Amino acid sequence: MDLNWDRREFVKAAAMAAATAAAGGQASALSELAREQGGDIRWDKAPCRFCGTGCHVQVGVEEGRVVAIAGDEEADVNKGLLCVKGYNVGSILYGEDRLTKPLLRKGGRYVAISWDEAIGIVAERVKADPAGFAIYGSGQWTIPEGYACQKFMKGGLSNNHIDPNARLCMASAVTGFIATYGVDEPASCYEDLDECDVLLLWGNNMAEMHPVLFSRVLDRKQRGSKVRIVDLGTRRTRSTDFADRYIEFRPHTDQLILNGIAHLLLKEGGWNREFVEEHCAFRKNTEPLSLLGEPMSFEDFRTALDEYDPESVAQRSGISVEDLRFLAGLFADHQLRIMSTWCMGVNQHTRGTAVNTQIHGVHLLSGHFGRPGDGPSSLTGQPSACGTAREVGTLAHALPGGRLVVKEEHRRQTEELWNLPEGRINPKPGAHTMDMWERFCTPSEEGGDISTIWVQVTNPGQSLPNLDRNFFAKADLEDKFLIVSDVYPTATTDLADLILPSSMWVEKNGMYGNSERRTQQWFKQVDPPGDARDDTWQVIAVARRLYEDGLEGMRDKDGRFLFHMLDEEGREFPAWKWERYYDMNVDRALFEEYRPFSRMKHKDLAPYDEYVKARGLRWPVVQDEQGTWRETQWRFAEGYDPYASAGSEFDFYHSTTGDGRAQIWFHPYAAPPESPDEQYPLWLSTGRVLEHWHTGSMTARVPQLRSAMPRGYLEMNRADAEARGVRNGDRVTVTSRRGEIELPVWIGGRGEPPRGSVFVPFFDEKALINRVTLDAYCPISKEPDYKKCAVQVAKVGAEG
Amino acid sequence: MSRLFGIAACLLGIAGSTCLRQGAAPPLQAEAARTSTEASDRAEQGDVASGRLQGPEAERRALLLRELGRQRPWGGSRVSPYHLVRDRDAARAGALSLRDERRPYDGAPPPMPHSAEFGAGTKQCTDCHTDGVHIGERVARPMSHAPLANCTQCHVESQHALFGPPRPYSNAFEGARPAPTGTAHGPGHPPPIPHAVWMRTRCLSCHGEFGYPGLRTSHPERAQCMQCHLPESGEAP
Repeated sequence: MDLNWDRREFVKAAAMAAATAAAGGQASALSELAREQGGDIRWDKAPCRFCGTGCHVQVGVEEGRVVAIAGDEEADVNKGLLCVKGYNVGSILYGEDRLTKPLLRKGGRYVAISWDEAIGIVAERVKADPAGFAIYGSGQWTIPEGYACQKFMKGGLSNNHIDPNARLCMASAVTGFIATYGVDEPASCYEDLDECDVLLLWGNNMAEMHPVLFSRVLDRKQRGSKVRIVDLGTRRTRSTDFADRYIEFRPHTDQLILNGIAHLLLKEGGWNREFVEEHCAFRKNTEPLSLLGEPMSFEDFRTALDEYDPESVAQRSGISVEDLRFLAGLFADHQLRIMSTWCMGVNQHTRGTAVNTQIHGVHLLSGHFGRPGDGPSSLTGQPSACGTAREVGTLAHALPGGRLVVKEEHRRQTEELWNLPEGRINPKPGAHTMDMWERFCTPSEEGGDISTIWVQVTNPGQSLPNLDRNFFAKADLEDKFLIVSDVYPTATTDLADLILPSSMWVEKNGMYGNSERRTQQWFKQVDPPGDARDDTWQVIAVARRLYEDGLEGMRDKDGRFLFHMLDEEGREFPAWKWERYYDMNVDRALFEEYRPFSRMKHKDLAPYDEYVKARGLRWPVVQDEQGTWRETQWRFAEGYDPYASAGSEFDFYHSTTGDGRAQIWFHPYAAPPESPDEQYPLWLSTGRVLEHWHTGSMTARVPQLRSAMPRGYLEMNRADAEARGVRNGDRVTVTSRRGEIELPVWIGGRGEPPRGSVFVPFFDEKALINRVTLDAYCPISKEPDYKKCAVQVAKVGAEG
Repeated sequence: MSRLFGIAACLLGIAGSTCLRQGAAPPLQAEAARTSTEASDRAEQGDVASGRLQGPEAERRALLLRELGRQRPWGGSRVSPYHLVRDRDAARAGALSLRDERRPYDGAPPPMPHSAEFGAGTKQCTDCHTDGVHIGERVARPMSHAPLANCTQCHVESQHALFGPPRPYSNAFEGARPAPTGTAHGPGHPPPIPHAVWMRTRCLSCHGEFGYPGLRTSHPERAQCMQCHLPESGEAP
């Protein structure tokens, strides 16, 4: 229902009533109408800038500046509620150190240069070494931004060195979905939160990281619903405080617990024979590990699980046999509706792909899938990790719409949609994030063949693991060139050779895609400061410079510019001219060009104008017989998903086995690459806190958030602290084989790790914990493990 | 829709007469109020002069005022029902500026003026913030919205209890300020609500006994505020 419309109707009705009741009433009702239409603050929708939940906010603008924020009552995702970051999202535009001019490093200092010169410098770097040029992007790229970069690199430069920071964030979720269902992204949706009987948190501190979603369940509990929350974790968090049961396991042993659950389901009969026989197949991995593995029989699957009996799993994981039986008992109850959520605890894992498939596996084995409230739901950390990184496919191996550069058919389809000559797209996957930065930070003479990286919308100087090796090593390499498009100075711009000031959030048009397949749209509402300009424009301007310089790749097969677009009168629109950029909606043009890509994997997107009207729509969005565009709540489930075949109940229509079946995987436990030992006796886990988002480049500039959580800290168990003579607030060093930083200790604070573990948030740019973390990664997803490495902690100034 | 229609008709057409008369208080309370009017006036002036809560004395006066206000009848008295609403501009301005200091913009959830690390459970918050409570000189106001479970999702500490103030920073955000009081459409009409009501549907949180002087209603016993007072301009959508 359109609230504004309804309200206007109400005021009109009131005016009519007043006219019959009292003469004075009519005038006031009419003045109310006038006031509403011409109020001082103009309100418009936008998705929140921060996490992957995808809340909508209403942005209040007065005299060209954002002055207020309200939760959007019309948004299905958040129903008018926000978290403290969302309420303060307006302030992120107004940090007084915004970047407002292109800056070039000259002899150890930065000088302001013109945009014309800046665009020319980027173009020269491309021309000097087209194959050594890379783009490192983001799950915060808007859909059109990611699409423009994707087309520029893969379609224009025949260069696949483009990868997003989402590699560090949800790559294991992607490989988990593909290995299980043959196609990426959750089949579930947020309505599951309203319907589930049990919410299982797999290493997921939802109370702080996805608070608006968590509150949907908490509010049900408060109103008397019997929904239970089970928190599986390696440390107590705010989510634990709300949980009905807390099960603490040793780091990395989630694999054992999942195999233990599957073991009990099979040995004691709790699995769902009918669902499995109808809809599933079994699969195991190969050596070396691969995404698609090889088939295995049900009997082999059962036998493989033999060694994961409750006693041995309990002993190795640290949970009790009773807890394991409790978990298996939940899955064995086929009437219960069980929702599993997970995020970085599972994804940032050297066996991230395996653990993802194992969570899907216990749901499938017990038939807890596809009914409202019943299924696995992976959450994302960035606002458009799904919409941009995953769907537009801004990954080194991917093309838009779930296509792969290695598949000739997919390259041909892409070339056709982009009107490019056949063979333009390079069939060899480019450098993924870890590979890209390693090759950039390795001297050219030692084979470091990536010479330029253009970073957009992310802060790798703070977020890459093992920073000294993967980022700071660049400082000594004179021939390497780092270009950074950003809105504030960051740890990344500190090493940049060229800084490009960008527009952010409602300073530009945009589209995001959230964790539940929901594509969202917003309009520019205020001007960017100074000379800051849109990232999409920056890419198109560089492409145009290269086109004018005669670079063949910037032409389609008819000789037209790569970003050829027509205005309403059918004339070529010069999107590369900033002064003209907002004369047309470039986002709309790019999105309409991208939309046909979405069909192959049945992730159908609606026309741009439908998203203008909605608070986001969940794909596949399919037009019904009356012409209405209808979104999809539960994918693969007959009755909800228009592509599930009639009579199938569930139809995994992108099955890797081609027979409509989902894959239940067996993965043996594999030890972590580094565990505590005598020299480094503690586990280190890293993550976020409620107040700050990722590296804090935005939230640390918001007074309310910065005051509430002013600095990074080390969370430690009281017993471990006492053993080191450390008291609350004392400064300590935390040291690994890779690096060392200094922090204050917080004991008995917001979270509480067990003995032998410490936790450090990564938002503080003055305490870069990623100088300490390990850069080992999942061999399939290439996502590093930020949650486990071995460290020692010592009080600053202590002897020895 | 029909419910809103009724409210609108009440506000715009007949608020000054029928609605009020229907709410006439029992005679016993009317008697008590007549004898207490003078004390009430003095208390009211004290609040106006101070402009804000100051120490136990101000609190006691506020409590007195509250009690007196409660007993004030609608009909049959020499006291105007609008008595308390009149001449309170200074107190209101003081109250709004106090509220304003704690919020980045009008409508933002206020931060906690105390430590949050009692635990994240709502129990610790709702113990004080459900009905409101006076603890010494401190006032815990009842929450302004229907109970939501995860309080610390929106309300964070104004300063970290262990780490203290942050390193210096600078932000030029200038939030929307609270609107001045709503203008009544005619003499004797109830003034409209000058702010959005989303997340502020429990009016007595600020306008009841725990609210700042200057914001309190003259008639806290009438719990269904939006029967007569409606939002003045577009609710924050």
